[in-house]
Order: sequence, then structure tokens, then C-alpha cells
Amino acid sequence: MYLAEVKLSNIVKKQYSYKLKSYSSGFTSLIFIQMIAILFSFNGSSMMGGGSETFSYDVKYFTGSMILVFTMLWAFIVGILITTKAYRNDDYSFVTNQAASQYSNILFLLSACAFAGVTAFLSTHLFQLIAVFVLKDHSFMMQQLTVGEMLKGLCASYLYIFLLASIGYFAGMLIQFNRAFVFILPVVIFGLLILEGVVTGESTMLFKTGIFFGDETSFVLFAIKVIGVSSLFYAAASFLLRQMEVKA
Amino acid sequence: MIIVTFLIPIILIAGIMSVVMLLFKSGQRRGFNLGGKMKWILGGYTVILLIAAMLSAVILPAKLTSGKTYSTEQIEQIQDEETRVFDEAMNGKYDPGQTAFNKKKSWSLPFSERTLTVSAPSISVFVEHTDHSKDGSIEAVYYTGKFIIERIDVTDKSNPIELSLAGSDLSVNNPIPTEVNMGLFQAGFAFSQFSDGTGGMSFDSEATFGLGFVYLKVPAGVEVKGDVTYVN
Repeated sequence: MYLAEVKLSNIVKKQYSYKLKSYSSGFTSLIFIQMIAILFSFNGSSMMGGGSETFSYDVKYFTGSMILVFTMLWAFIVGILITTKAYRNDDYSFVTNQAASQYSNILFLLSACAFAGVTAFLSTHLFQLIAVFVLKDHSFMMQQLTVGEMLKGLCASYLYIFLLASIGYFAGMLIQFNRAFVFILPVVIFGLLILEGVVTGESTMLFKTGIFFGDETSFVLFAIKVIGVSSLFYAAASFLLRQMEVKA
Repeated sequence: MIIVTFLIPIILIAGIMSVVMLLFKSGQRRGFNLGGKMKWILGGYTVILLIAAMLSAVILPAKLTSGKTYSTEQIEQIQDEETRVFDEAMNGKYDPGQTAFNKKKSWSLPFSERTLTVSAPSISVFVEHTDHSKDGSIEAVYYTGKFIIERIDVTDKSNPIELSLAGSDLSVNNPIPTEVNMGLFQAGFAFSQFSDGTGGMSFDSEATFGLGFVYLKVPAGVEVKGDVTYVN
């Protein structure tokens, strides 16, 4: 019997609100990352050219993919960062438990990824606008999308960013569980990639993982895949957090 | 070599990670929060991006090349039709109502000689004899097929041939070389993944240079010498 009943939803709400405010410095890095991505995008994603004696052409392809990839990388890092001890200890400024901390982290990542997804989409427009004024000797064409395709793309961008945030969150929790993973994770991942490249002559592991999501043309199935895989990562992170509490 | 290939993205990722962590942590130390400076930074950034998006919606359409776009099937049809018209002309039958080739430039050249010598080393010349009402001049038309790059019609950007008449000699020279620089804004992978291509243009890394020929209308009675094909 307690004087005041504390509801989980209230704690989560308070922590979420607190995290939105106190972790907002992470968004300055998002702005920085997106600016860098815009700069890199000027290089074009690919080029082609050809011609005859009297007619030659050069085509440079510009895409918003670079901005999205950089934003995904940002989400991955933020996912790792919010699992660090300093941030986890912040949760204990409130009456809290492990579940509330987890839920508020996921809610924060959901919101941060939404902001990142929208700004990544808008940054592409900023890039296009700058490009037509800077590259004056180019004639520009644009791949037109229907409203439906644009909405699906925007949602897919969000899901991709959120997927990377969940992977980062799990990786971060793994590192918090055992510091040795700081070295083990990159060594295993990059080591396997390099080893595969040395043994087979080409490294396709990352590519094969990517096409599990990237080759999916049904948006519903894609969303199910991303939400499913993300949930698995959060569940695994939750399990690790429980083990850490037991250890403590 | 493989290790070097991996080294670049690893360095890039490490660099980005360091920057994000540094900014994240320095923000924490300085007590940046959404109520203070951060609010203005984020708000300002969002406003700039929104304005850019609105401006791009207004300005970009006017800045984009207004070339017509074709599907792969349409390009194949265009090429087939050009080949058909050209082959028929080579066999002496030219269809004046054909639409496969565009009239790029035309000339009306005063001519009073009895013989015309045509020199056209790199282009086909078709000749039609007109009746005596057209005596005193040669009508020349340069037709070109479609120049299509990445399914975009860039025929307008190609230059016409040079044509000069000196006495009874007609020289058809190559056009001034054209150089086209194109920038194609493609949707990012998250957008193209669910795009079936029906909503607009999708690029396919192909280029088609249409055939070209000169069509001469020569007054009846004028003998034409050189590598030409008589039609109709």
C-alpha cells in the first residue's frame, strides 16, 4: 500500500519528455551530418557519358540516398549513445524501473527518427535547389514521383532510419553488458567482411543482408520486416538490460 | 586491395561517429536543451529546409529541361519507325508525311546550273526532282531522328549540318559538335524501391542517336552527281 500510486505510463511520459529536451544536443549533430551529406551529394552517385563525332554527352546522377545513408548512420550512433551509463543514470532522477526506461528510450528514438526522416527528405530539396544554381552548365531533369510513391518513400526512409537506430541501440546495450564488445563487434563485422572478400574475391554479406529489406517492393511487407527486426533488437536489448540489473 | 576498399568506409564511418559523439556530449556538457539555444537551432534549420522545399517546388520546374520523356517501348517504336522510313527512302520511296524524322533546318538556295555535284561524306542525301515551276532554286531540308539520353528527348540540343553551295557544288558538312551536360535528380533508394515507374520517369543509362539525312528538291532537268539516292 503506497500513498501515491505511480502509473508506468506517467513515468514513461515524464522520462520521454525529459529525454526529448536533454538529448536534443544530438540534433545538432544531425544538422551537421546532413550538411556534410549535402556536400558529398554534389559529387553525384554515378556518371555516364558517350557520344559520336558531332554529339557528346555527360550525365551525372544525383540522388538523395547519400543524405539518407548519413542520417541512418546518425540514428545508429544515437541508438548506441543513449545506452551509455551517463544517459541511463539520468533515468534514475525519476522514480523509475527498467521497463519505463526502455519504453521512453524507444519513444525517444521513434521521435528522433521521425524528425531525422523528415529533415533528410527536406534536405534533398535543399540540395537540388543549390545544385541547379551552382552547376549552371548542366541541364537538369528530375525523376517524378506520384504523391503515393512520395509518401511511401518518406515512410520507408523513416523505417530505415528507425531500423538502424534499433541496431545501434542493441549494439550499445551489448557494449554496456560487456565492454569487450567495443572491440569484438567491429572486429567481427569488418573482419568477416574482409575475410569473405579475401576468400571469395568479393564481399556480399552486407549486400545480401541489405537486399532482405532493399529488394522488398511491397511496402506492407517491408514495414513488417523492419518492425519485426527492430522489435527483435529491442527485445534483445531489453533482455541484456535485465541481465545487467541482475549483475548489478 | 580489398582491405583498402574497406578502409575508406571504415574511416568515414569512424569520422562521422566521432563527430556525432563529440557534438552529442559537448551539447550535454554545455547544457543545451530544447528550451534554450537548441530550440532556435532546430527551429531555424527546419524553417530553412521548409523554405528550400517550397522554393524548389516553385523554382525547380522552371529550371528543369523540358524535354519529352519516353518509355523503353516507345524508344523501340521510334527507332523501328526511323529505320523503316530510312530504308524505304534508300529504296527510292520517301513518305512526305512521315513523322519519324524532325525537320531541323531548311535552306532555299538559288541555282541556275544544269548540273549539281553533291559532296556529303558522312550523311545520306535523298533527291527529288520537282516540276519546272520550282526552277531557279534548290530546296534543302535537314531531317534528324531523335536524340534520346536517359529516355529524355534532347534532339533540340543537337546542331544542324552546315550546307554551302558554290557554283554547282553543294557541300554538306558535319554540324558543329554539341556537348550536353546533364544532371539527373533521382529519387533516393527508399523512394525508388516502391516506385513502379508509372508515376514518372525512371532512368535506364541508355542513349539513342537518331539517324539524319538531307532531302533535296532539285528542279527538273538538273542532273545530280555524287553519292545520292533518288526518291519517288
